[in-house]
Amino acid sequence: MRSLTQYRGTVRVVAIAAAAALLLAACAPGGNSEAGPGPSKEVSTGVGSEPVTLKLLVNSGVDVPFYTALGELFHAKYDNVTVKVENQDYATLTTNIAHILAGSNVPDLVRVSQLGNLIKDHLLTSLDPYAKAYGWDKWPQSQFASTRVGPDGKQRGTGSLYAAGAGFGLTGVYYNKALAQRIGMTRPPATVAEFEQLLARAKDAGLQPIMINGKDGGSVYPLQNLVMSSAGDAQAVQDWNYAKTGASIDNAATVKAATTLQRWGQAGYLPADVNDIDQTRAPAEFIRGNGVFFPSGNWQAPGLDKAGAGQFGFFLFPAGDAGGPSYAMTAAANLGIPAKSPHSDVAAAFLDFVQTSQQARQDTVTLGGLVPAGPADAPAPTAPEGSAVAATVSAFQELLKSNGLVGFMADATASIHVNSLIPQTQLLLAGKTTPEAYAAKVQSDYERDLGR
Amino acid sequence: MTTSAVAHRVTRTAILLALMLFAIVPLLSMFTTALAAPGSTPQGLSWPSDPHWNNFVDAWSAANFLALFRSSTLIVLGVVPATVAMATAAGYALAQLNVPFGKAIYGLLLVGLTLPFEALITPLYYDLQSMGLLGTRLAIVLPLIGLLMPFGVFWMRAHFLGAEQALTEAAKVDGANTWQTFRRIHLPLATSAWSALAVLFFLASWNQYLLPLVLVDDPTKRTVAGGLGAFQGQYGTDIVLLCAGSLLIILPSLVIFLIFQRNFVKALMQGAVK
Amino acid sequence: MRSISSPPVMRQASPMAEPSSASAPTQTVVPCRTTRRARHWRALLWVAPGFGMYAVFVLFPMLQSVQYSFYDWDGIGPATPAGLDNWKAIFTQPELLHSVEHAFILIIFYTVLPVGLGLVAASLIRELRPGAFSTTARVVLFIPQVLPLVAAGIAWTWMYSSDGLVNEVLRAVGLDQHTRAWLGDFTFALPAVGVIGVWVMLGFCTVLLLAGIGKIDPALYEAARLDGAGRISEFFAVTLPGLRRELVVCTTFTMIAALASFDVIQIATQGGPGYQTMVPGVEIYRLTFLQQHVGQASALAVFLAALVLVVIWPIQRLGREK
Repeated sequence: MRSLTQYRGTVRVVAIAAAAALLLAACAPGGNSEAGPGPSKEVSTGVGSEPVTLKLLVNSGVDVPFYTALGELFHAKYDNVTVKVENQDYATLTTNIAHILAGSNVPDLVRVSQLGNLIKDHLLTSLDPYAKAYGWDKWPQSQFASTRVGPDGKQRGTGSLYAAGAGFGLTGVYYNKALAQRIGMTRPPATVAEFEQLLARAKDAGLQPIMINGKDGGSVYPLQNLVMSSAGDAQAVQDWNYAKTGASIDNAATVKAATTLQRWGQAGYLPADVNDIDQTRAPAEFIRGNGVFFPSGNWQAPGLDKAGAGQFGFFLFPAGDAGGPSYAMTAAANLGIPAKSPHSDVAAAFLDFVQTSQQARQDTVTLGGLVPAGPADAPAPTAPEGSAVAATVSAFQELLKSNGLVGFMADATASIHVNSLIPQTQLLLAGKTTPEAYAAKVQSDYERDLGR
Repeated sequence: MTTSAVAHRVTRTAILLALMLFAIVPLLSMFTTALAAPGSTPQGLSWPSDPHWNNFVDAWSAANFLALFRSSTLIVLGVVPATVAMATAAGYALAQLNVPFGKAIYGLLLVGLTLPFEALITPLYYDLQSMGLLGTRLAIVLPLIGLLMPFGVFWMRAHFLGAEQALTEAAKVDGANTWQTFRRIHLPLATSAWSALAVLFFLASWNQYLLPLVLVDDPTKRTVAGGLGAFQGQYGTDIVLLCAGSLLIILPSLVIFLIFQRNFVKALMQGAVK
Repeated sequence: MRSISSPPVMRQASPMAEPSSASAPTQTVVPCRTTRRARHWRALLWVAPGFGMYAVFVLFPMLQSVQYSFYDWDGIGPATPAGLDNWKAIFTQPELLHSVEHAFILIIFYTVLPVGLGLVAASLIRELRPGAFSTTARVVLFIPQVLPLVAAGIAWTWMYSSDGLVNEVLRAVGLDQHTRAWLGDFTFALPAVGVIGVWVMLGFCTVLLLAGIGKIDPALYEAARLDGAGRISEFFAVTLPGLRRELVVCTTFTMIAALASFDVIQIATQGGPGYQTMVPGVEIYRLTFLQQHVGQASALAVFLAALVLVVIWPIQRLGREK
């Protein structure tokens, strides 16, 4: 090591290297800009009779038993198709998805949470021909809006369809029925102010008002809900999610929402170690009775019902003003077909199957905790009366009518969640950033991600 | 013995014991946690009243231990012999033969001693992709050979610089050519140097995390460390299983270290730099 | 203890003991010019395989990093020239700048503390008679160094968790009000990650320094004792100066590990809470794969590589003086 400095030649070498680098810089890295999507090929709705192994890549955790069960159902119907479920944890999969799909060992169906650059880089197959062939285009179209992408590869909500899923996630607030009774909650709060009073009462009663996972982004849910409640409208957020030109959340509603959430943190309504609680510890603590309220999604419902049937209720996040609109975040558990998959027809058949088969739809509710997608007249799966699952399903129907379903801000760009929303919300809760700076920073990161 | 000498001995033993405790306690904590009831959240360090040794069996299959072990072994076999051989040859030439541009070559290699792996990982990803190697074990093996090379050459060159000149001269008088001189005289004398190098390279490959994380998606084609990272991602929520699995995964390095601890420490004392 | 006194050959294999540049390649007297040149060029063959691998998998990618850093590229589609934008961002984007700052703070934990504690441990072990205790101490202290850093991250994440050992001990001694989720705490997360570095590096530094002490001429100690030096002054007069080269190697190795840290952070905190433990290594990984800003990642990577060189250079000089 020490002889590093003995070599004056090294300096010369570095200089030569730098010169070489400059020469290298003359030719740009990267793919060919002309490489567009291949000509759309004939699609088929059959699965053939050749033995096929359909590779599914999903998130670790509840996804695994759920998609394994769906795969077995599919195999029971088409015995030449074997569904193989592989999994990677959420953070790893969202980090590497673009490179997995561009690589040489691609799955046939992949769980896509954020579309990011996947469309621009032609990594997913357009589902338009399949939608036509299977008649998905005759179903309620709102369920497909979030995975439609325009020709620029960025703006969502319009254009070609790139992913579809078995069911929908839905956020709201779970409550521990016994503890809620103790603080005198007789009905779900109608406004944010009412909710805040309940939180204060819980605090006074010596209870932990809210259980939430701040480590991996659970605290972003109430924040987005507060943004929509204080705006009394979700259009701005939806435009932002869909990357419409000029969309911005650097506005009064976000500042007000961030102020409220920060106040909740300072008042001790959130756990003291909120930034260290992750998405598996939060429900475990909530089940143990640590927390009156737990803002989260319907994917938690089967676990809560299993731990204590009938003990946990669910309501939609309250409106800003009495009688105002309620909003919830929703996203389909989207699966996309990678452009390089050799079995796109079989993959599409699987997508159609999970949305239409009655047994699959039942599993979607029971195992996945999700509200099943599909045609308007499909048989509704059942859930036991009084269960958390039943409560989330009925809330979804309600919002479908009132147009209150909005996508997750976390899915707006590939990295907005991990790089901005999670750390910025942590800073906010720790009092290390101001609500104004919060709104401005998330917006500027968003614009950088979109290259604006 | 004076009281101050006794006091000194007591303090000395206490300090050393405290440092040893610091080194070993995290592993003990993992061990007792690994024996707790599956799915529970035990306290940091408490012997469970009812040790669940079965957790190790569960973790064995959950971590896909055999596949991981096999994969790491293949990677080590791919990296270590090749790197040691190439580094020995290059180190010998740079020390004993009159290599054209020898100084420049050695200077370039020295720069590589300080290069952080992260600085190279992005272009390596694209290079291996265009070679069609992404996702294969070669995607870990080939870059690792290159990345370990500077240290290897540096190490072997330093050894051969210290070799007796008289031996070379004597061999020359006997009419031996360069290869014969190297093979018969210098290589046997370098045994301890290259075997120490092999030990260090074994550890560096076995414990490599960044390269497998980025270059190979399938955990069963990674190194032990890369597989452990994936295991943490998948079972990080079940602390009992995570601890049991992690202990299983680190057990081979631990056992190998304890068996060869003399050689390890010796190798290190010969001047590990990286 | 025995293995500590390395044989003379080994000592020469040590980088610290490398003969100075005076030991130039052998000047062999070869009568015939042509043979000499032929042999001369043939020597390249010895170097070619190793240098070839190094060139293809290290030098060339390094140059590519430099090249990428002047482009805006998402890693898959076409790239567009970006001038110096990526470079400017390193100095203007607070997150990137902070990650570099954090790497320097980690030097305290990866370098200063292990070297300091290692000196203490090594001097204490030296005083012991060779035997079971001294061997055990050396082996136990060294164990963390042979484990994958991933395992270190997992073990310590559990130690620091709300139910983990650190908090359990605090509760046991009645310091309940000081318990916290250490890795989720804005003030303590970075030092907590740093302690993992101390854990990993301490054994390495101890053993290396112990080896150095073994090479110090015992006569120097005797002379110091005759001069009436106490343990402390003996340490400063004999031990410390005698360890200069070992200290340089320890410092170099641990500083590179601090500046280029990745494994432990990626496992334990992923840079959080906020951006409190973000380091360049993790930032490069994220920029490349999650954010798909390959140009930005490459600029940071080249910057990091240069930074390491700049920091290491003066230390190497220090080791060479006198």
